[in-house]
Amino acid sequence: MRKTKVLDAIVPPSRQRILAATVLQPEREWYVSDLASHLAVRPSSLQRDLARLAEGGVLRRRRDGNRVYFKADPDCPIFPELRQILAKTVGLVDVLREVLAPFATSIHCAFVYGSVARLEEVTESDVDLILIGNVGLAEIAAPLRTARERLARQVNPSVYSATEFAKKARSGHHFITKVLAREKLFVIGSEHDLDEIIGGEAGGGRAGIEARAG
Amino acid sequence: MAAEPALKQELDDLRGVVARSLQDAKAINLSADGKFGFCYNAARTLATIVVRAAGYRVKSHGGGHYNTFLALEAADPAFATISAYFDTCRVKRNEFSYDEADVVSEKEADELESKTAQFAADVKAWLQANHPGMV
Repeated sequence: MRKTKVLDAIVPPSRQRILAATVLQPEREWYVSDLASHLAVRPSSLQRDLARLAEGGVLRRRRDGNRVYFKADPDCPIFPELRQILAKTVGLVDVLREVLAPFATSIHCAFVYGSVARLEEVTESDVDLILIGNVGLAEIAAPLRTARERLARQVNPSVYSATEFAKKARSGHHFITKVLAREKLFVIGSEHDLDEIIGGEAGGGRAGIEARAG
Repeated sequence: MAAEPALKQELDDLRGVVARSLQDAKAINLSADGKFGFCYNAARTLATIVVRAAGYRVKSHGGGHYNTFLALEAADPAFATISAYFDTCRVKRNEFSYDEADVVSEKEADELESKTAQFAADVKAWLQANHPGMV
């Protein structure tokens, strides 16, 4: 079994997230600063990769006064294949978000954890997903089957009520503590939402939990 | 999967397994993993009842559980949704059986218990409608 990160073997990490934001949303045009904000990086750090992708015909570049915009070029000869590759790797969050959209109001927080979240996934890595809220496994089984087909990866959901998740987090439950201490890819919600679910410092807080995880 | 007519006695025996599993799932101080495991066993056995009543037997090796839920859906497309759910449970059951403990939430265990009880009622109704001699 290959141990190489799949996408790293094909695309430099610096371009992976740019491509996920553009190629997987081809209808969207990005102003450089907006893209940088979305990716939580400085605009200057994107310049070289954006230029190379535009030169290669993967992205279209448009100037409007002082602003430069980028969007995916669907006429790129490998656009369909590239889209498929990205959807199966860095784009998986967007696929999961899409299939879970009908349940968004019932889910306080959802995130991918494990090897995929650590970007250590290999070709056979499953996608481990935690959902916290008022949704059940029975409701999401069929949509996640759709996600599995699109991603060509098994998606393994775990569902918790907010009360149970907070209780286990505060009590040092080994599995929850381990999950909280490691990398996460948020599908719905954010670290802030997770903090609110678990409670503040008085309740044991995230810092205390992660410190115990060592 | 192979075509093989079922006998009522076989289904009666399987119904006994279902009843025992659902009863065991109510044990006091049982872990969520344990409760989930007993309910999953009941669900899989109920799926087997449907498949056998339809006149088929799933091979027990090489993905028997997975194939049982596929066969359930094939026996009647009305079971497609619950089949997808039980297959999700199958993967989770493998995880806590072989890889790691305490990965089932109380919410998941309670849900499976409820869904399995409902499925038991649905299977009984299905048999009465489609294979009354097997009830």
